[in-house]
This record gives sequence, structure tokens and C-alpha cells, in this order.
Amino acid sequence: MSKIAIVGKKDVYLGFKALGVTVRHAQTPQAAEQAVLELASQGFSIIFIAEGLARELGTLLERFSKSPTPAIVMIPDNMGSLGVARERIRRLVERAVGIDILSRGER
Amino acid sequence: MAIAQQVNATRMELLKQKKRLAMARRGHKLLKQKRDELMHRFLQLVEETRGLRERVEEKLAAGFRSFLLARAEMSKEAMEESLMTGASRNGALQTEMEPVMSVWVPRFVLSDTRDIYSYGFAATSAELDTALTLFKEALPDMIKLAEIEKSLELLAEEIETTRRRVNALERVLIPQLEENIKKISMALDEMERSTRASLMRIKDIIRGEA
Repeated sequence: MSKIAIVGKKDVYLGFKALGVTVRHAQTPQAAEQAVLELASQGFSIIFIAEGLARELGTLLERFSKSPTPAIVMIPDNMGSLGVARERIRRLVERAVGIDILSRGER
Repeated sequence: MAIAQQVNATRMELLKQKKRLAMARRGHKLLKQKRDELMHRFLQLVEETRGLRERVEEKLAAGFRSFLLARAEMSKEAMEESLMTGASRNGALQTEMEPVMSVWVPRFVLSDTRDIYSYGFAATSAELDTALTLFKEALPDMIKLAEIEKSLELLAEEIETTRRRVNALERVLIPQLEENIKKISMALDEMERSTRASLMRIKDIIRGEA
């Protein structure tokens, strides 16, 4: 079983299938949530998820943040980056450091 | 503010409290060092993830462009068929665990770099090759990104708890112990003075009688 999966629109990520990555089609956040939960229980260690879908799934991602696997990572789709992933890192930094030290550098 | 605690004003208790204070101070120092080192690693990773994400996003954007072109040129069936072959590649990814300052973070190793153009060239467009090459180039970076972002998540969690512990020691436990020690030694001193006063008084009485 390959251990990497992508959750998102099939049309966009289909190319990764040739690389041995499992591609699960999901167009709504609900479908994406379902897909992520299934993949996680099947032992996938990396799950990439389209940013647009992940934006609505904050609590789901939070649930997996404490265990070492699966690593859930947001990737852009063909519409380009939405900045959701950067926002997530920024929040992590804020939580760890206590203050927001990144937004200054990114402006 | 330290909550006043009922302590017995005895020498035993004083020794006990002093021992606890020394222990708390040592723990505080160690935890503070741990927090600083965690923070150091954390910020290094934050720096790393920024450049990496930019690279991944660039490559993916280019890949998606080529891929959409390829889709436009090919029939849906031919596309699906030519990409199906990849599904048989198993166990390409290895997951190892590595401790970073007592936090176990995953290390992902991609071992399989076999040829990805395992389809016939007749039915596929050149754009598909370009797209797949770009995806293939992006994949190691994406995996690295997954590794780093997961590490960041786990480290952030650890930093938060460590910081809480440092603060709890610094603001609650240590002041409380200091307060206790002060109270006990004052009570002991007071007892000594009172004993001495009564002894002097008894001495006076005895002398007066003699």
C-alpha cells in the first residue's frame, strides 16, 4: 500500500497517480473530511489536501495535530495558493512563541 | 499570588520545604533551557518551511498548467488509462521516527524513484510528460514540507506545555515555597524567643527565692 494520498478535485491531482500517490476525489469539505478520516484509519502517513477544502476543516486538522502521523499538509490547487497554509503556520508560531513574529516579515 | 498553605512550624518541615525549593529551582532552570532550545529549533524550521512552501507552490502551479493542457489534448479514457499504471508502485515511502528534544517527529524517506513514464507514448501528449516531470520534482519537496510542518505542529505543542510548566514553577510553586520557608523560620524564631524569655523569668524567680 502506498502511503501518500491527496484529497481534492480529481481533475487537478490525477497526475500524481502516476507517481504512486493515492488520489481521493472530494469536492465538498464534508466529502474531504470523510476521505481524510478513511485514509487516516488506513494508515496513510502523509495526506495532502487542497487548500480550499482544508479551510473549512480546522477542527479536523486540529485532531491530528498531536499525533506524529498522519501529517496533513495543505497544497494549492490549479487556482493557485490561497495562503491558508501560511496562515496555519503563522498561528502555530503565535501559539509557541506567544506573539506573532511572522506577519511583520511577510508584509 | 501564592495561596497560603497550612504548614507545621517544625524543623523537619523546614528542611523538607527547603529541599523542595532547591528541587523546584533546578527543575525551573532545566525547563527554561529546554524551552529555549525548543524555540530555537522551532524557529529554524519555520524559516525552512517558508522557502520550501514557495518552491512547492511554484512547481505545482506550473505542473497544473501543463496537466490541464494535456487533459485538453487527450481523451479522458486515454488519460485515466495512462495514469493507472502508477497505482502499482508500493511501499515507496518509509516513515521513521526521530526524537527532537524528547519530541518524536516523523521522518519521511522516499525510496522509490522509478521511471514514471510507464505509459505508451502514442496516445499521450507531450504536455503530460512535462506535467508529470514537474509533479515528480515537486513530490520530494512536498514530502519534506509534510515532515517539517508536522514537526512544527508537534514542537509548538511541546513548547506550549513547557512554557506553562516554567511559568507554573516561576509564578506559583517557587514563591509559595519561599513563603512557607519564611513562615516556618519566623515561627521557629518566635518559639525560641518565647522559650528564652520564660527561662529567664524562671531563673529570676529561682534567684529571688534563694
